[in-house]
Amino acid sequence: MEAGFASLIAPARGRPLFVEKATALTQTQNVSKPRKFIVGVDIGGTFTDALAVNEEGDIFYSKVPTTPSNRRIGVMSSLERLASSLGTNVEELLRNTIKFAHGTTATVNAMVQRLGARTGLITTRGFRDTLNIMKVSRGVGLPDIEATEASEVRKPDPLVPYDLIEEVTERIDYSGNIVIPLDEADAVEAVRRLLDKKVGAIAVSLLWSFMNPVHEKRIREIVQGVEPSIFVSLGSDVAPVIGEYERAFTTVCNSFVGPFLSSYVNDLQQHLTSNGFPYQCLLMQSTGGLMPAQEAPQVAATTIVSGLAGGVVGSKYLGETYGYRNIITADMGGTSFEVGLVVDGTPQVAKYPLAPRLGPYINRWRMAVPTIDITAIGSGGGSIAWLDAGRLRVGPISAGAEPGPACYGRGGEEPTVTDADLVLGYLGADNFLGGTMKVFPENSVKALGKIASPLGLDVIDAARGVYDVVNNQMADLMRKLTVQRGLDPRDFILITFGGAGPMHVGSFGAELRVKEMLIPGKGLATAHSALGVAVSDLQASSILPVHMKMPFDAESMNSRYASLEAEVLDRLRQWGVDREKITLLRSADMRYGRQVYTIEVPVPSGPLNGGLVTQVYNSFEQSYETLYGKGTSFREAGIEATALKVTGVGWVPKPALREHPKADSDSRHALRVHRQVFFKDDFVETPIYTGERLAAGNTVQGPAVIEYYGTTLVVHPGQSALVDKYLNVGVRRE
Amino acid sequence: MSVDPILLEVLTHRLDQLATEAGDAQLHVSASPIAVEALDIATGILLADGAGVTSGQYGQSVHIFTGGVESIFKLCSDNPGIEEDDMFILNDPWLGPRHQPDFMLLAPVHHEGKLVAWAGSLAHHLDTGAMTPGGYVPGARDAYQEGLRIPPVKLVEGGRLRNDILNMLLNMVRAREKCALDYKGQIAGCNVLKARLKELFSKYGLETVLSIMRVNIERTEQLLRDRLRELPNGVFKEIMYLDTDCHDTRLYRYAVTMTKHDDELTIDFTGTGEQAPGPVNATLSNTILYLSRMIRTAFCPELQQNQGILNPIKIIAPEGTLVNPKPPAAISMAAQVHRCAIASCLSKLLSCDERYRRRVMSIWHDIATSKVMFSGKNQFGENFSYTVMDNMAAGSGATAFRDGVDSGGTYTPLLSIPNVEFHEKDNPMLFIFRREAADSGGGGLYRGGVTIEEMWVPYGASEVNLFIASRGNEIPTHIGIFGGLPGSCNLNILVSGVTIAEAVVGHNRTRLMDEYKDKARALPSGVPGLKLRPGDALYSRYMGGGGYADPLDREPESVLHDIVQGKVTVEAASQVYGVVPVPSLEEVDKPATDALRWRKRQERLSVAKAKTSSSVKGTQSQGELMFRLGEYLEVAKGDANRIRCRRCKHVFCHAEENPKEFAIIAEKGLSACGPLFEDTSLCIFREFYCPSCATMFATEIIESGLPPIDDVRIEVR
Repeated sequence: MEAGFASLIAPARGRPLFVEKATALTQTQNVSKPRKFIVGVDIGGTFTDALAVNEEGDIFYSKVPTTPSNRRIGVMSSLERLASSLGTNVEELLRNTIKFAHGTTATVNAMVQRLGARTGLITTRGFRDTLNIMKVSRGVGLPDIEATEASEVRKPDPLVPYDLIEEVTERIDYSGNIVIPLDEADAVEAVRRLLDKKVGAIAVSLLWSFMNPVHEKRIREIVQGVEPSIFVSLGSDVAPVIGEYERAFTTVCNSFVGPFLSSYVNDLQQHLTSNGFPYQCLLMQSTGGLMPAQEAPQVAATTIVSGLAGGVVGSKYLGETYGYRNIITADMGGTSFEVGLVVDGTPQVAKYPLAPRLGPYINRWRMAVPTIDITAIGSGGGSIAWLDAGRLRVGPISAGAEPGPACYGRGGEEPTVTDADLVLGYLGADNFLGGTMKVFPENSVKALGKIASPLGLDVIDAARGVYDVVNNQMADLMRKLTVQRGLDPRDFILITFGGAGPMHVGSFGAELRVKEMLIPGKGLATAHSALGVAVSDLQASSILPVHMKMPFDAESMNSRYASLEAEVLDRLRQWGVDREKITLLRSADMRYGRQVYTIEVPVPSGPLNGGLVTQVYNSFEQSYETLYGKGTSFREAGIEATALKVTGVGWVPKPALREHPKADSDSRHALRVHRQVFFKDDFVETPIYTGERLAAGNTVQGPAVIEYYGTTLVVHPGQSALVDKYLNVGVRRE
Repeated sequence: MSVDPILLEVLTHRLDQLATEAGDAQLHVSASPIAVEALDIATGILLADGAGVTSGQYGQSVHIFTGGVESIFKLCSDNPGIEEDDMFILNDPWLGPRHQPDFMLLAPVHHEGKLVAWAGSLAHHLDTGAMTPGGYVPGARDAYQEGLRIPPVKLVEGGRLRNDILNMLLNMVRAREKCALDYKGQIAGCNVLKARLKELFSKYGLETVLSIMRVNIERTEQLLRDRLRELPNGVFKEIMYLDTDCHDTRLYRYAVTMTKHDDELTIDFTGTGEQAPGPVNATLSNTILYLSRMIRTAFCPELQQNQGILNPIKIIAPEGTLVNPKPPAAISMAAQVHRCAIASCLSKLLSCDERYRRRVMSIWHDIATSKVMFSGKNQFGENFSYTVMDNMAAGSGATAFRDGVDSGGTYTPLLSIPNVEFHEKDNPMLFIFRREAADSGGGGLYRGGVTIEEMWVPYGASEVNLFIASRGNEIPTHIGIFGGLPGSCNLNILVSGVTIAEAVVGHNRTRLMDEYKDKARALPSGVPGLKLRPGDALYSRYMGGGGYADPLDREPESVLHDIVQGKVTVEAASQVYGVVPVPSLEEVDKPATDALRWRKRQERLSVAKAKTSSSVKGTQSQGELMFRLGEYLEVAKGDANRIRCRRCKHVFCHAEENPKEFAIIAEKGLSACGPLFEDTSLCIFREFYCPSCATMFATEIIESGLPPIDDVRIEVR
C-alpha cells in the first residue's frame, strides 16, 4: 500500500467522503493501533455482501439476505456480521472505516417494480406521445424466444401515465437555434396542472434541448418558483445526447427514482453516522466509478446498474494486481449469467446511441446514459432444462430461489443446472454450503428423468447434456461479445465468480480458449462484486454535444476541452480529491458522415494541433476497422464528431491484497475425500479438496474438485489449478 | 438421421447466433436509416444447394437468399465461375431479391477447395438510380424506369473488392456515400459468417456441422407437419384489394384459397388480378418470402427459420398476375396485400383449435405501405436524398384475447422508427408533431392498435423535391376479423400557406382537414414529384391495426379508458362501440350506453331478413360441439352437422354451407367503420349479423355484387 497521501479537504456537505491520513494505511504502522478498514457493500437482488479490507490487505466478508423493503436493514446486518467476524462491533468497525462504498440494486428495483415517485413530464408541444410510441421497438429487452411470438409481444406499461404528460409551446432546431420561444404562460399552466395532480417529481425533456438547454432551464425555474421542494430533472442535464425518446425516458426515469434514492441514501447515511462512521458514504455509478451517495439522487438515472458494476471493477482491480489488461468477467449466479469486459485496462461501457440490439437498456427500455456493458442471459444454477421437440434447451426460465432446484427439496420438480451438477458429482451432497444445507440427489435424478427418457438417454447422459448445453450457451455469449467488438477471446483472461461460476468455468473457459481462468480464492467468488465496490475510484464526466465535420478545428476543440476539463476538475475537487490524484481522459463520439451510430475515440490531452487532430481521425478509423473489419472504413463519406467528453478519475485509497508466503505445490493436506465425478464419458474417482485449506503455491491436477463455502471449483482432466500468492486460483490447460 | 441431441443444441444455438452477429456487424457499418432503424436487412446461412439453414433476428428471412444462390449457379457457374473468396451482388427481383432496393450479397463458403455452404447478407439501399430517388419509384410503368437491375456480379473476387464494379454501382445511384457504406456493411456481414463457419468446420468437422444443418431443416419441417396435422382439414378463403397502381386509383383483387389437408398447406392465388401497369407487382420471390413469414408466425415462431418451413407448403401463383408478374413489370413498391389475405386465412384456421387460438390475429404487418421520399439540398447545402418510413409505426392487430399494440409496428420485434431528431439532424425538415392517431385502431371486442400521425415542414432549404409512394389510402388492408373493423387507411395531406408557429400552436385538434380547410388537400397515392417550399407542411397518417370481433361487445370501461388515453374519440365511442361517457369523462353513462347498444342491435335486426337454409329446417340447436369457427360460430354434431351461433345457439345452416349466406347482411360504405373512414366508389363494406342475437360475426370489404366470401369450409368427418 502506498503511503504519504495528503489529507483531503472536507467537502461542502460537511463530512469528507473518505480520509487518507499518511499514517492510516501503511504497513509500517504500529500493530497495536486500531486497524483501519475500507468497506464495500454490494446489495444484490438476493444477497447483501459486505467486505472489509484492512491495511495489510486481509479481506473479510459477510453475506446476509437482501431486505428489499428497506435495503438499509440488510446493509446494517451485513456489517454486524462482518464486525463479529472481525471480533468487534459495528460501531468499532465503522469508526475505523476510512472509506465506505456501496453498489445497490435499489434504483433499478424501484424502476422495475414501479416504486418511484408519481412523475409528471413536460415536453415540446406535439410530442406528448413520444414515450408511448417508444419508437415502436416492442421487443426490446425480451429474450429471442419470447420476441418471436408476434401475437404476444407488447410494450411495457409507461412509467408516466398519459394524463401526467404536459406539452408546452416552444421549439429549438437541430443546431440549437430557437425557432419558437418558450411560451411562459403555457409553461406555468402546465406546471400548475401537474402540481394539482399531486406529482412528486417532474421531468422536463424538450426537443433538441441538449443543443440548447435554455427552455428546459427556464421551465425548471418556473417549477421551482411555484413549488421549490419538488424534484426536477432536465433532459439536457441527465442525458445530453441526440434522440428525444431515449432522452425523455431517461429523464423520466431520473425523476421517478430520484426521490426514492434520496430517502434511501439519507436513511443509510444517517444510520452509518449514528453508528460512528465519520465520513460520507459513496455510491457506485452505472459506469463503475464512485460518487458521493448524497449527490446521486440528482443523477439517479446514472446509478441504475450500480449493483452490477462491482464485479467488473473488481476484476479490473485483480487484473491490475496481476498485470492483465484484457479480461472477460463472468458472473454465474442462481438465475442469470452476466458477462462484462475489460479491454486494455478499461471496463467497457455501453452507451447510447448504439445499434438497437446493443445499446444499454433496462428491463424493457432503452437508456440514454452510459452503463457498464454487462450482457446477461438466463443461464444460472437454477435455470430449468426442457425439451423443445427433441432438442435439449436450458433456460431462460429459472426455478429461482423458491422453489429452487429439485435437489433443494422445496417442491421444485423441474430439472435445473444445479441438479445436473449434483448428479454429475461436481456438487457434493454431503458438503453443500459447508454441510449446512441438506440436498436431495434423488429429487435431481427424478427431475432429470423427465428429460432423459424422451431423449432416449439415461439420467447421467441427460445431466451431462444439461451441463454441456449451458456451458456452450455461456461460451457463445462470451464469444459473441468479444467477436462483436472485433476482439479475440484468446487474448483474454477469464475471471469467474458468483456461486455457480467456478463449477462451470473449466468447461466454458476451455471452450472459449482464453489464456487463463482466474477464480477469486478463499470463497471470495461470491463476494467479488463487493470487492469491486470497495476498490473503486471516484469518477465524474462532462459531455458537450457538437456538430463537427472534418476537418475539425483544433483551436475550438482546445477551448471546448478546456472548459469540460475545468467542469470535471471542479466537481472532483468539491468531492475532496486533490488535483494530483485526478486523471483526465478526453474522448470524442465520432462517425462517418450520415451514419447514425458513433464510436467513442480517445483524444490526446494537452493542446491539440493539426497533426494531433489527424491522429484522432486515424484512431477513429482504426477502431472502426477493429469493430467492423478491414476494408469497411470509408473516409470519402467524411468524418464527424457528435460529442466531446471528459472523464475524470479521482484516485481514492484502496488496499493492496495481502501476499502469502509460498508453500510447495503439494496440496494433499487439503484433500478431504474422494468421490465419483463425471468427466468426459464416465465417472472417475476424483479427489475433493477443501479450498480454504489450500496454501499459496499448492497445485491441484485435474480431474479434481475444490470446495469452498458457497462455491465449488471443478478442475477438468488436462487442467491444473495453481493457488497463487493472493490465494486466488489460476486454472490452465496443461 | 440420428444426431447427438446435445451437439444439436450446441451447434444450432451457435449457428443462429452467428447469423445475428453478422447482422450486427452489417448494421454498424450502414448509414441507411432503413437498415439501422427499420432493420430492413437480412443475413443467412445456406447449404451448398441454396436451402436456407438459418437467419438472424432481423427483418427478412433466410428464404430470400435461396433464389439468389440458384441464379448464381444458373448464370455464373461456367463464366465467370464460382471460386473461393468470391462474393456476388445482385438485386434483380426475378432472381431472388424482393425488389430493386434490396441488394443481396452472396458468398460461397469453401472447405478444402469444395463449395459447402453460402453466406448471405442483404440490405435495403437508399437509392437504385431510378427515374426518381429513394428506391421506391411511384412513377414507374416498367422495371426499366426503376433503375439498377443487376444479375449476379462478382463484387469481391478472390477476397479482393473489385473497385471497378463498386465504382460502377456507385456511379449510378444518388445516395453514393450511404450506398457505399451499405455495400461495405454487407461485406462485413459475409466476412463474419464465412470466418465463423470455417471455424466451426475445423472444430467439429465439416460433415457434423452440415448434418446438423440438415437435421434442423428436417426437424422444422417435421414439427410444422405435426402441428398442421393437429388442426382440422378444410378450405379457407379471403379476398382483399389494392386500391392503386400508383398512377390511377383502381381496384386490384387478391384472392387466396388456402387448403389444409393433413400435414400440407396449399396456397392458391388463382382469381388474383393481372399484373398492374404500376410498381405494385410482387415477384414470386417476394410472395414466397412473405408466405414463409406468415406460416412461421402462425405455427412455429420459436423454431429456427429454415427451408423446412417451405417444404410442406405448395404454392399456386399463376404467371402474369400481381403475385407472379412477368418482366418487365414495375415492382419497386411491391404490394403485400396477398400477405394480409394469407394471414387472414391462417387466423381462420388457427381459430378452430383452442391450442392455437392465442395466435389468432386481426390483420397488421402490411409493411412499407407509405413512403415519403425527398431530395435536393439539405440545410448544409449538401445534396441529399432521404426516405421517411415512419409508416412502420402502424398499429398492430387485435388478437383473440387482447387489444392490438398501439404503434406496434410489424412482426419484427426490434424494428423501430427513427427519433424525430434523427430525421432532422441532416435533412431539411422540422417536425410539428408526431403523435398517436385517435380512432385509427380498428374497432372490435378487442381494439386494433392505433398508429401515429405526424406533420413536418421543410426547414433550412428553400425547396425540396417530394415523392410519395403509398397505397391503402382508399381501402384499408389491415382488416378486422370475426366481426372486427379495419384499422385506418394511409393519408397524406399537403397544407399550404402556414407558418411554423401557426402550425405548432394550431395543430392540437383531431381533424386536420377541418382545421386547415382550403389550405389542405389530400395527396394521391403516388406523387411522382412535387416541390415543397417554406410555408408548406406535409401531414401523414398510417395504418391502424385491425379489430377483433363485434365492437358492441367491448367492455364500456375499456372504451372509456381509451377515450381518456386519447386512443378513441367520444364520437367514435358512440358510433363504433355504442358507448356514452358522462361529460366529465369520469365514468361510463351506463343507462345511455345500454340504450344506445340496444338500439344499435335493433337496427341490425331490422336491416334485412336473413335467408333460411332448407337443409337444417326443424333441426335442434343442441348437439355436441365439434369445431369452433372464429369468435362467434361453431360446428355442432347431429343428424346433420350444423353451424350455429355460440351465443344464442341459432342454427345458421348445414356445415357444408356458408353461414354468411344465412345471416342478416348489411351493405354499407366504408364510412361505417369509424370517423376516420370515407366511402369509396371502389368497394363496399358488408356486415354479417346473427339473425337471432344481432351479433356481428363477420365483416367484409368487397366489390359490390360478389357473393359473400366463403371464409371457412371445414371437412367434417
